[in-house]
Amino acid sequence: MRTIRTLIILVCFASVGLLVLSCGDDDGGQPTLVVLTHSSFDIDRELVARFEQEHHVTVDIRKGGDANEVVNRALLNAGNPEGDVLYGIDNLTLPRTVGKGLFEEYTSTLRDRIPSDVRAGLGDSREVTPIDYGYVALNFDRAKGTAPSRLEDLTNAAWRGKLVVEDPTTSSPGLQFLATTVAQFGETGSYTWKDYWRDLRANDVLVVDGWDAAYNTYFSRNGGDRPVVVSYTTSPAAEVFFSEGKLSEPPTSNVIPAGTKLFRQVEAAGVLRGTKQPELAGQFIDFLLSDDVQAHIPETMFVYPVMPGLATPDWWQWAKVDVQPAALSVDGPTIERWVREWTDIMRR
Amino acid sequence: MNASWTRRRTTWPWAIPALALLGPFLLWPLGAMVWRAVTPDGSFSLGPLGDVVGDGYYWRRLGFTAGQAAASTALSVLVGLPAAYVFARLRFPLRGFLLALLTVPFVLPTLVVAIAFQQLVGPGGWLNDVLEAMGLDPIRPLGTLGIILAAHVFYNVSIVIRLVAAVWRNLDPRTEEAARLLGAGPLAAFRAVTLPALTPAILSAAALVFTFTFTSFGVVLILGAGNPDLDTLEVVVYRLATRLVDLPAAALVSTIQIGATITALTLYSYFQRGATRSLTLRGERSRRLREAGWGQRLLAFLVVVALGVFIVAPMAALVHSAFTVGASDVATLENFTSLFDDTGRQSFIPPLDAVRWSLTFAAGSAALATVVGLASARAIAYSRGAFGALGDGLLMLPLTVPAVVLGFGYLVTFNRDPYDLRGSLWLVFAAHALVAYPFVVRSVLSTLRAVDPRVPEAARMLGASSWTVWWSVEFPILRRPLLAGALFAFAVSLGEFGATVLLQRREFATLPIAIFDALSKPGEANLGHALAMSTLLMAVTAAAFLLIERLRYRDTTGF
Repeated sequence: MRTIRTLIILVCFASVGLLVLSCGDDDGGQPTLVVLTHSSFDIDRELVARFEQEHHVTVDIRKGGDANEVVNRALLNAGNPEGDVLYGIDNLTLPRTVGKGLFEEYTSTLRDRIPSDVRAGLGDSREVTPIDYGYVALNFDRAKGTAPSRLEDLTNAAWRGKLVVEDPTTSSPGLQFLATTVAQFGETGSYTWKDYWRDLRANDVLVVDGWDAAYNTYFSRNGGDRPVVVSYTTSPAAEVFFSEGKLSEPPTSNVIPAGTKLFRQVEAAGVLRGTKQPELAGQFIDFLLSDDVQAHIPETMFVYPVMPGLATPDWWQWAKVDVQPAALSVDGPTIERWVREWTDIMRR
Repeated sequence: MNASWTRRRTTWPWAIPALALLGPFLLWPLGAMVWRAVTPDGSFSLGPLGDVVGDGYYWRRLGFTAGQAAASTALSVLVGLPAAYVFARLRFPLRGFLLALLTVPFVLPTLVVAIAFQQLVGPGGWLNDVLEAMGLDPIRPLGTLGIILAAHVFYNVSIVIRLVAAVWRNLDPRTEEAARLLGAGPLAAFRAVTLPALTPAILSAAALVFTFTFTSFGVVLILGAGNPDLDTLEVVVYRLATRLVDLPAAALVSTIQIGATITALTLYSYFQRGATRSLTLRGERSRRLREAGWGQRLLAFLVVVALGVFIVAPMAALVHSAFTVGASDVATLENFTSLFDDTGRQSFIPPLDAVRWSLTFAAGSAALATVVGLASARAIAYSRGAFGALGDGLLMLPLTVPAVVLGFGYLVTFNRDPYDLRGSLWLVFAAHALVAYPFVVRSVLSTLRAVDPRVPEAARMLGASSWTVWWSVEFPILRRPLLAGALFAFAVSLGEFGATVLLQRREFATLPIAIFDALSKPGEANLGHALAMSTLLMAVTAAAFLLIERLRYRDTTGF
């Protein structure tokens, strides 16, 4: 009896497994457009359905970890791509793809409507098309008194043990904040960005691997004990949005003193070289630039759409920031050097 | 050691299922990554390898990694042994339930465990509330070695309890009682009679725990709170791999990790052979609590309370948060009910679908892992000498390879047309079965080696076919460890995150993926969703374990 019962359990396991495998893909012979992207990507499903109908195609959106991982895996397969379109490459990851033949050039008819300074963020490369942009800034928990007024304040005794940041080797916002400190303090002079980080380390800064640990665990707003966190300039607005009506103004604020040079991250999409349907891929990029998708970008991805003059939801007022993007031209080796030097200062 | 019965058999065909899984899904992708690393400009060069080997930093990390793994293993065995005794020898109410509960942490994604510990010992956590109420200073254990060791024991103690209790339960207690009658004290009787019989199972469990903690990743990454002195090799590999320029270095550091773990496992296997002896296995010999002596009752009480607090507290803190985060009042169900509100977003993963896929992958890969694991265990048990020990180590390979390297390896190998499996759910099954089958091997092997070779030999001499020998002699003995192994395989698949995240698609997202998705967005509602789904994952796991426990115990009541 016992052996029979065990067998029955095993057979059940196996048959459930086989059952699943037998109901494989079935999309009625339509072509499939595969979009590779990172885990923060989001889009209104109805808009995608409309695109699918219009172009008689099934859109398959595949997320593979964070932006860094997505670009890395695409590079491993350059010329023999896993998909047709890649969304989520930015001005910190694009330099690594130069000369690797990752993308096919594509010039959207809507490209001219994108402000030129945004396009310049990506060196006006024809390989990729800017879709949105964003900034990383210090967020302050407003329940904890007065916000710091300058970045330098965080190296003072009064702010000892108050700041949590993300590791630039593993986290995109972490790398953007590193770029911001480079832009702010410079590479040469009496007090460089490296001095700033040495002072932060001496002042008990907490470095964690990713944004969710920093924001959801250590930030005092979510039960941690650090009232200052490196997050996005749109996070205070997102707090209002996700409170689903409970909050009318954000519980956190951006710390952007006048004269701060914030690094601007421009995110883009590109047609992957080797795709069998370059035309469809291009149409999908046009679709991402269409007014419908662009207008939805604030509430789906919490970044700023590249197209100017679109109506934005009410709570987006908390995301409006008056900043001067840092004029920072970066290439692959430079970014690698920053990260290596940062690692030597903070990790060894 | 093994009698002539086994010598007549050829052993290598039993290794075929494991090789069929290991070859294409592990050795090939791993080899491809390493090959890329040592051919930087298209031609072979030892330069990159020299750079890694010559850097003292990696050797210091290797030393730390081994040290913390040894400490975690010792602690897990120390905590697990008394508990294994209580679960094996005593019958008390809710025993199956408690055993299932103890296994739940093992399958929780590290992300969830990190939140759980945060809710318990973090800055605003329960423990600090208690300390504050008592007028004491708050503690800050995050980022210390202590919290890492505690989390490792929290994760792994159930391996020790289950593997050891599975053997202990079937040991004839009369042997030890005989020793007592002959004048041995309880401790001496335990040392001379029971401990030697348990040693193979303890070593098995220790080998698994060591491997797990040696390759510890999420716990260190999250609870280590960025303290660079706590980085394990696997964390170093992750940091290297997420930046392209260091992918070759990541592959090479992985090989150091793999080499070190395989060496440790091979040594362990070699020594374990010496420790294995044939046991007289009986049916379950446990006592009801009220028949037990006072000493036993006290021990049972202490074990249940101590483990209960240690294991349940973080989970309770997590469940508590799931009902209170975002609550305007005392508690709220909102985090759970809103899981079912379709947001109309492309990224929305219906929680029930995620549960279904989690169960599907777990069931399918557990079945595959059981077949492969059983066959491998036979291959190892029936082979002798250094070759057998090495084979034992090699079959554990999947536990030693960093998921991120494996994930990237898949992308560079399964990318041409007849076998272009990128984005296929087959890869998820293969990857899950790969990390799961070593559990079956470990669980079955210690019993398989302990089977007195004269028993099947006698059956053969009496004219039984090999099938009959297997079916009526070996299988009944192996049934329990086999089920325990299958259960662990199931659990490993349920909680798997590292490889799945690189292979996933929204259509077959699992619960850990859905939790991760919710956690990567700001706002209380998302944190609430993540906590609610974590609670759901714990519930599903506990339910699955309870169901199987029930099946197990119902058949043993006949004894």
